Amino acid sequence: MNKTIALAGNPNVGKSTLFNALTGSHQHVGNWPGKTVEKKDGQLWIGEQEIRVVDLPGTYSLTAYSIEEIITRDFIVNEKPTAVIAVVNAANLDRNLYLVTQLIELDIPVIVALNMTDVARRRGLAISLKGLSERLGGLPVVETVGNRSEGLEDLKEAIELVIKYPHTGNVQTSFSGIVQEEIESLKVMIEGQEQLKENYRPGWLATKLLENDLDVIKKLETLEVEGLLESARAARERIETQTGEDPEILIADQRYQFVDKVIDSAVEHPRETTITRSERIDKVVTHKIWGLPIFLLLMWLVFQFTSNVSAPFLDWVDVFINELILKWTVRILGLAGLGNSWISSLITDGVIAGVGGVLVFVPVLLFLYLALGVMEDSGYMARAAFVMDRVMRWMGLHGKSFLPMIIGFGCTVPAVYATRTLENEKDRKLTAFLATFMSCGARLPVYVVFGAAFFGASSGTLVFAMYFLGIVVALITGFVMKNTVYKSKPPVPFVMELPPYRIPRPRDVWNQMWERTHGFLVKSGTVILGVSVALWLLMAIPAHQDLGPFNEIQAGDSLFGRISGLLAPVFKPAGFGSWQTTGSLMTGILAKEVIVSTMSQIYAGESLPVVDTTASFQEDLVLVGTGFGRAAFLTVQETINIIPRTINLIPFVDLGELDFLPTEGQELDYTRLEGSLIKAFEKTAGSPRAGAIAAVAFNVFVLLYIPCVAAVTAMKQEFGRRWMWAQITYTLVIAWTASVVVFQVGKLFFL
Amino acid sequence: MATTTLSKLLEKFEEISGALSIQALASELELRPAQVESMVDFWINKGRIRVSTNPSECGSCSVQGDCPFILEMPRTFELVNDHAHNQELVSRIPCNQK
Repeated sequence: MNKTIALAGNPNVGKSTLFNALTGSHQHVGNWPGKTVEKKDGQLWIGEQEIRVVDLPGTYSLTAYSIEEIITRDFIVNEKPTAVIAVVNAANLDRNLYLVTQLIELDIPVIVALNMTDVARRRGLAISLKGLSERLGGLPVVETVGNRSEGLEDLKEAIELVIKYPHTGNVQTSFSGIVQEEIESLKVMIEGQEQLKENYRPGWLATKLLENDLDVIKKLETLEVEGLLESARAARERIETQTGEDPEILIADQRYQFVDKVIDSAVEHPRETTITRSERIDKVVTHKIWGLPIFLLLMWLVFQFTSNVSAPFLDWVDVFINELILKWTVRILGLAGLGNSWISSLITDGVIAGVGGVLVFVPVLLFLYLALGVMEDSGYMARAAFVMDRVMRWMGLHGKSFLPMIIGFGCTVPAVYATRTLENEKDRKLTAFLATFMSCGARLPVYVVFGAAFFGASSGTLVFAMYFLGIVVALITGFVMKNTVYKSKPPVPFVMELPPYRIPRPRDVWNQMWERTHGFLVKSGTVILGVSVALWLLMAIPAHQDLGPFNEIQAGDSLFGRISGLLAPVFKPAGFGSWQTTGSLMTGILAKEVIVSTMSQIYAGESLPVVDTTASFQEDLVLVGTGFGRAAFLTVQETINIIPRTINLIPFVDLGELDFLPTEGQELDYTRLEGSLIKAFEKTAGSPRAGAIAAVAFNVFVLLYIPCVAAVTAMKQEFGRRWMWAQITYTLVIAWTASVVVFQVGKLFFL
Repeated sequence: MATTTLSKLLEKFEEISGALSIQALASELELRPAQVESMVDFWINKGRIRVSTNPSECGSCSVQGDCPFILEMPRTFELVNDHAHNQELVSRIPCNQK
């Protein structure tokens, strides 16, 4: 075997997929000598001929700035492969052809594999293979779709032809004017020196010397070529004097011009449609005045969709867990003679109540992930950060701060780490501080359960209000701190990558939805399960031996109940001073979803359902099945109802909503936990209306108090213990103050 | 006075205030956004522009790779005034891809 083909290309262009398709299982994976960069070597048979195929590291250019670039070019220069397959992303020729120009400069046979042509076609790009080949000096251009192995035979044919008739492209690449003149004169000098001529392509070496490529110059310094190096230095000075530009910049610029010409003549791109369409949408969506209201309206719609549309399925999952799983688990345990044992209590009050209490919210999250998926895939999500930049600057904050803050809507932990993108230490600390007020995804189940229990069809408004309040508190805090504690230099302006708008693709949205929901299920089966079991134990251990034996006491008399009860009076002014709510807030520090699982465990113990022993399993299955149909029907109804609800935001407009399946008693639509919460808050606050105000105050506290333990640890790691404690203290004070204000002022207005 | 498009791009980075999208920048320079991205690569290599990717690092969180709450944000680019060679501020593997 003496023929070698190397695969070169930008990262993520499907190079490895093509390599796998070409070599099949005949490959060896290792590292490049002395480097940690992966090296893939394989064999390809064309007829009887065995060809070595080498997958080079992904790189955007062949300068000497990164290890991948040096490996790639050293391999081509030193090992002199028979040909290089330049794997090119057809959907992004600008970036990819820049590398191709440099491969051509190396004066080796190049085959252009135009990969991802399906993506390019979807984007409306029409690429002329013939035109591209002509503009690239007659290089073979082959269309491939690596992941579907399309175009492989054509590629093999091109390889076969190049091996038989090596062709290096009859094109003077990109250079012109003084650059080309100086290259030519250096080339003559290089060709006059045998040792250089043997090891390097003269044109490429001349270009590198003009670019002042330190890697190449260092290698030449070991040879006796001082004259050449001196001439190169003089040539660089002449270019700089004549053009006023650094030769490296001039050379790169001429390459870009060459690429532009190639694309202009070989590609029909729909920039007049796609780009201008995105620009037109951006003119409205990121508008100075309308951008923010549009962002808020979309947020409102997302939460309407998330909480109201998912509500029927939430009720259905609740029925599924309680009427099927819990009921039949109790029955089976009873038949096994374990009816009143601690094992039964652990399974029903601990695992099913805790994990099941959180699993009830899977539909809510599913709908949230659907909405997020649509926003991400359509390209809007990035714009949200862009829109908020103006608000941030108006408040004197760094616009880039809003990126970590938007990440904080998902989870506070990566938001804290994302502050590393800010250079200034004060900006970093301030941004991390503010990111904790962004309502993370794990808090959503709390708002949804309280929204559904206390506000019915308006639950989406409560959820929206919580997210909005988080932003407002963050901005006010930021404004105050920026003008006091964290005074710093004016922020550095920045450019942001914004994906073009597109119609969301159902498959991509579904994949995102499924991956995230799967993640939530994993979290339920690990973290929440662990906490539920630990909590069950704490609720089974009596605070004092006189109170009763293990697992046979009132929850309030348990170790957990009594400890929570000690802190409960602190929350009395906020209307939720019970040991149950206090206990939930305490466990919520571990992970915010645990607030719901704790409440579910506490209230489940207090109101276990009466097990209907007459219904058969089949009858229960029918109940669950018909419930599913009803939930599906109501979901459609609630989706349609978003329209009148949104229009009703306009003052004095009051459109009616669809109600195809009116329920006789509202209580029928409550989950077990929701019903318990209504009674508990009513009791603590004094009246049904005060209970609802206390519920809002509780949600405000959940929104603003200490983030979870993982986020606190991230803060300590990034900014130190002192800063962490300052943050914990501030969030506790602000959360308590805000919830007390909400309850007390709410009582004044609504009672 | 910049004579090359590459230098003009760098000048634009020096002139901008606030946030600007690649599209808007391309529009001002009468280039395709993909051209601007490609040219920005050059300046990143030269250490004159810094790219910031928002990391999805999860620290001590026990959920790590299966977390449903990770949101990805787009890359941002800003001028490096000290001419030091650029290095990505954060180049960690997103925890949801580990």
